[in-house]
Amino acid sequence: MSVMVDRNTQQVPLIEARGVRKHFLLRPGFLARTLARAQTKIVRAVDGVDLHIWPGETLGLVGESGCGKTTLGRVLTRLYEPTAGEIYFEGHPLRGDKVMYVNGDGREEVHFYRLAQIIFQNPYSSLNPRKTVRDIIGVPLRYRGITDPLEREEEIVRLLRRVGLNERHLDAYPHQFSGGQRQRIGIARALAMRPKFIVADEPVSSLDVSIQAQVINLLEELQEEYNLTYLFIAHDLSVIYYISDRVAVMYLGHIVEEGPTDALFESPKHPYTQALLAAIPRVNKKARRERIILRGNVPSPIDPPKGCPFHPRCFAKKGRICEEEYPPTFQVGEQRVACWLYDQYPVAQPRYTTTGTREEDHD
Amino acid sequence: MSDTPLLEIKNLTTIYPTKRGNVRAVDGVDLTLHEGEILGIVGESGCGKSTVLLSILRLIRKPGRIANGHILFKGRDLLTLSGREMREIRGKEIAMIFQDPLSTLNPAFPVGEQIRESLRLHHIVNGRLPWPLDRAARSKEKEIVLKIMEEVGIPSPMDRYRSYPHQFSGGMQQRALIAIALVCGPSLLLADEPTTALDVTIQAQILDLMRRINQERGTAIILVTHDLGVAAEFCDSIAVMYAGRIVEQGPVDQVIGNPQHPYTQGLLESRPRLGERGRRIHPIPGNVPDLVDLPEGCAFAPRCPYARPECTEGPIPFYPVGENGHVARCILHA
Repeated sequence: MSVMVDRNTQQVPLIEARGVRKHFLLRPGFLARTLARAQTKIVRAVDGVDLHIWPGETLGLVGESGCGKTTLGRVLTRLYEPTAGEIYFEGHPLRGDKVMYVNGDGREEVHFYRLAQIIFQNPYSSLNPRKTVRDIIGVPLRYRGITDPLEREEEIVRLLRRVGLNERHLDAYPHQFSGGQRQRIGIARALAMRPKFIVADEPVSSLDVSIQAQVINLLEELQEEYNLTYLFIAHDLSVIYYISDRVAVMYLGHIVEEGPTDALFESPKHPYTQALLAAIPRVNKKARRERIILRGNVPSPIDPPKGCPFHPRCFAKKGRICEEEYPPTFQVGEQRVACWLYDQYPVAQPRYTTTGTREEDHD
Repeated sequence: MSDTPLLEIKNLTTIYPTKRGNVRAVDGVDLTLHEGEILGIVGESGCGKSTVLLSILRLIRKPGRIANGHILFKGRDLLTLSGREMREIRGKEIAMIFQDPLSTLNPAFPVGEQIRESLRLHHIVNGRLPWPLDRAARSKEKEIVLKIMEEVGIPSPMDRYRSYPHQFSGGMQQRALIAIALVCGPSLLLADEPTTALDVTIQAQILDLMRRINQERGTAIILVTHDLGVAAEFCDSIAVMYAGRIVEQGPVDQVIGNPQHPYTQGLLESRPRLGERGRRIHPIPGNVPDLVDLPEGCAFAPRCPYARPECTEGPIPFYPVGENGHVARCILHA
């Protein structure tokens, strides 16, 4: 089994996804099937994604509704099992919901939820309305192995304080909090497992501007303090720009462009990325781009077009090839772009070592 | 553009009584809008911006009520009109579009019919026979509806006339709402966060459409939004609201480029800005105040880095700052 290793630094990504697909089946009811011969349809939410996230970095994932970013985030935390493809944690493959975890003390097979957690988008529906804050944060602590109730209580209070709440809130229920506060409870819950990797799925989208800033700053501080790696999913490009080291752009289940934040924002290569960036309303007049108004709507992942998924709306379409074949990913400077416009560039190569397997796997 | 403003709001106060006391959702607001102008009202949730729009159309539900003020539309005070007279205005002279199209469109009726309903209620097409019998009038109405569906960018209007709202995407639904609003040719369009629920590329399309409507039909627009970027790109002038009051107002270049009220400055500071990588964002500390228990003087004082004792002594008037009618409600500029 080959492991992805950076040839220069010999570093292994914290998270690696190879050929990940997640399809959902839409099965019509019995009558629809027998009387109307209705077919089962497939929603190709994530349709062949290769991704890697280095330890300590924040990868921003952007895309519009229906592009599959939330589904990808859930597959990477194993809330969903992928339909196809593999996920690796520090070079070790996930087997079911477990993975081999190696640290200074040795190695053991652990549940992936010990290592990867998620913060959900909607602070109103992601907290159990019938549980108190103490229970919401206490349950993961029990799974972490803190059996003594007093010790647990201490840790819950510590976590609450760290996210800007306090012990007065222990016996309160979610409905008694504001959106921003609920989001903080969600963050405390994710931290309770002491994970290494957190998927933040649009954590600030439903918050007011001034509260957004507070939560963004909190997430950044926590990343430093706890040495976390983030996959930050958002549709707000300004927030992505601010918080991400690298950015991946998704469209209809595929990653169409990926690269360092500055490079991607300054010089977007894929036509979709260009349109996306041009569509952001800017406060600063000088920063405004020439408008690219995309025709048509975001298509449905149930019936994706053949060839490049973006071709029906593409303003830079090259020709027939865009309609017939899905483009390979080309390495264009610092960015990787899946677009036929760049076929004069080399195909992006994954950086695998030649020696292949990790020695630990021989035990 | 004539000299008489299209809309003049004077000292508008709208109150919602609650068990704990009166919530002054809108507290002494003055606004002026000329024909063909685009005004933005910017603020966070609960600042009263949506309530201002609802007050203009007198859509405030009991027990809420407009407690004070005048709303002059083409010279007439809307607050003195009868129910019947107000119904002539709503949808025909002043129209409104809301944030979430799926909750404002009727799921049980085809979209084309919903657009036509506005024409019918306002008797735009006058027939001699009662409506159900007058085929000529009905087909004229349908023609107008198809034309406006095309104008707002709904493809294949003939086919989509009979579609239901759930068969449209979010962007299309919003276009349908805009069609309903415009079909009777109003001179003023009130838009309450029309693009917040939409993806950024669709948002760009809808704002583009609204700009075209403003340029081609001369329709004045009041756009309520929490997004300063949208306001900066789209509006001619903006008013920033906080806790029911306007705290800063003026031409958009002035207010955004040279904000003079600490709250406006705070809002601009707390947003990440593209192209400025190393810049830290500074959130405004604290929370929006409880609108029942508003302190004397400036409502922003508890969160303001420049607050002085005089800030909470009494009501703060507007002071001129910058040019062209740029004003800020802050004693720093006294």
